[in-house]
Formats: sequence, C-alpha cells, structure tokens
Amino acid sequence: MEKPSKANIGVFTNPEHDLWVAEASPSVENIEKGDSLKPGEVTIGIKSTGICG
Amino acid sequence: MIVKDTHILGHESAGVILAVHPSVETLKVGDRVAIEPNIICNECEPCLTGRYNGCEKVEFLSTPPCPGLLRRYVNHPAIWCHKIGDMSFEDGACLEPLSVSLAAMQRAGVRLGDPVLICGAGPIGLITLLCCQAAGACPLVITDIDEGRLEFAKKLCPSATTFKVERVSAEESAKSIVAAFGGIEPAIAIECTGVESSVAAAIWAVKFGGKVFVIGVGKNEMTMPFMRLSVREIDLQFQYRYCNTWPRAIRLVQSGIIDMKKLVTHRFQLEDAVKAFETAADPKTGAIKVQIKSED
Repeated sequence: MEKPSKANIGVFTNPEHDLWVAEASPSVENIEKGDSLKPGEVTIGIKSTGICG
Repeated sequence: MIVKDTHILGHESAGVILAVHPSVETLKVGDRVAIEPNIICNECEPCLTGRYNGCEKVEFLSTPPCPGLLRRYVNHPAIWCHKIGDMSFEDGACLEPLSVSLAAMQRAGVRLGDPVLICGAGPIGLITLLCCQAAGACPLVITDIDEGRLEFAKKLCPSATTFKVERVSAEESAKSIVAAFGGIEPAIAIECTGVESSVAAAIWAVKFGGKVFVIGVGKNEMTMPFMRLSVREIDLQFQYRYCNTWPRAIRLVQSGIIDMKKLVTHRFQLEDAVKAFETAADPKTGAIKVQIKSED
C-alpha cells in the first residue's frame, strides 16, 4: 500500500495570472492522522492531471 | 468564476486512494480512481432531476473559491471518485475532457451517418472528433485556424477532412466548409471554439432543420445570423459542463472505443508545473494535452 511521503504541494494562481508551486493542504501529517477527512470523504494521491484547454 | 485571490488550479485528475473516512464503504485504500471535480447540493431541482451540472450551489474544483486538483494530495467525497481499474492515470485524467464531449454527443443527438462539422481542433474538438467517428457519423469535417492542429487531427482521424479557416465572412467560410463536405450540408455542427465568427460560420453551414451545438465558451454577448437561424429552422443549443458522464466515459476508454493516448503530447512533473503551463500556452510547442504527473 502506498503511503504519503512527500510534502503536499499545489499549483497556484492569482488575479495577476502569476503561477507558482507552493505548499498545499491537506498536509502529510493530517493525512496520516486522518483528521482532515469529513464523513464520506477519501484522500487521493493525485497521479496525473491534465491542463484544461 | 473570476480569480479574486490566491487559488489552486486543476480539474482533470486521476489517482490512488490513500485514506478513507470510516463512513466510506464504496472505496478502499489502493483503489485507482478518476475524480469528478464537483460537489453538488443534492437539494435543488437540477440535482434532484439528475441534471446536476445546473446546480447553482455546486462547488466545482478549480472554480473560485473552490481549490482545484493540481495538488499531490486532495480530499474529496468518495461519491465523486470513479473506479478506473487498471486504466492508466493519464487516461483517467482524460475522462474529464471526454465527459465534456460526451455530454455534447448525448444532447446534440449525433447519429450513425450524420454529416457532422466540428469547429476547432483543440483538445475538446479533437476528442469530439473521436466521439463522432466512434458514433458512426460521416462525413466529418474539422476546422481550425492552425495548420499544425489540423495535421494533428488528420493523423488522429484519417477519415476526417480538415478545413483551415481563413479571414473571410462567415457566409463565405460556410460555403467553403460545405464544399469540403463534398457539397453535403452538415446535419450538426459541434462548435468547440466559442469564437463569434466560428459560431456564425457553423450557423451558415448546417442544413435546413440542422443543429449548431456550442460547447465552446466566449464573450458575454455575440452577434449571430438570426434570420439564417430562423428561416432554416436551425436549433442553437448550448452546454454547461456535464452530468452522469463518467461511467460512460470509463466504459468507452476501457473498451478501446475511444483512445485518448495520442492526445497527450507533453508530460511534466508537478514540481515543474509552471513549465507545463508555459508549454500548453505556447502554440509553437504543438501541445494538445499537457499532463502533470506526481510520483510519490
């Protein structure tokens, strides 16, 4: 079974259309504790994401 | 839908389940899933009648203020995670744009032997081309202003005719499009650009009683050939996202009826996502579908 190991990062933008990669939630610590999940939710390790357009 | 603050992008994703809330019985750790990037209210008429893309309280991931999926880890309701079996994660991520095209196919009513015009050879136009081919529509003509994209379309679907859009009137453009069909007026035009001149050309091109189905999004207000629509009894129809398409999309990809693999032209790691966006935005790269990978 795969376990989260690397820090969670995400791709951000802003009204100026800047793009950058930075820390995102949920954190690995929260995933391991399981305290970030609401009823009915799962945590997904995203493997592939397409750019729209 | 305007970005007013710092915001996470991404709504075309697939991955693996890492953790489940104790209340979840449908998924387990290790399941491979594609993510339908919406959370609906389940109370309004569109939700209760199965057309949940009309939910005005929807949280659509990547539409502000709801953060998107371009992250390494995401929490999401299990009900919107669709199992993909041994399908590749790339194919799983492509189920979202395929869903856009499938929603159009269903509502436009494309049938066996229908002559169909597809306006725009970007990712949605190309996926729609694959869907029309699979549905037995023929002949197929696909348009674009970019020669490179038309060459890509021809390789993807050799039986289709490609048509380069020139700077002429919509009426003139439509005449040339019909000539590209061998003189047949298309029964349906699926418009994937949202560009006013392209919508107008589609309206001028379709047959009496035909349909122009607009997937593309564009300006808030547009001018269109109103009387052509009127005297030719042309139906003009629109689309907003999709609903109930994921299971159908999964069946089509798993069965090999729709092959999305050729559409992915560039791949980047999540850490290099900025480069991925620069590549997708630069016409010189020839990018069609750019995918961002996260290897844990």
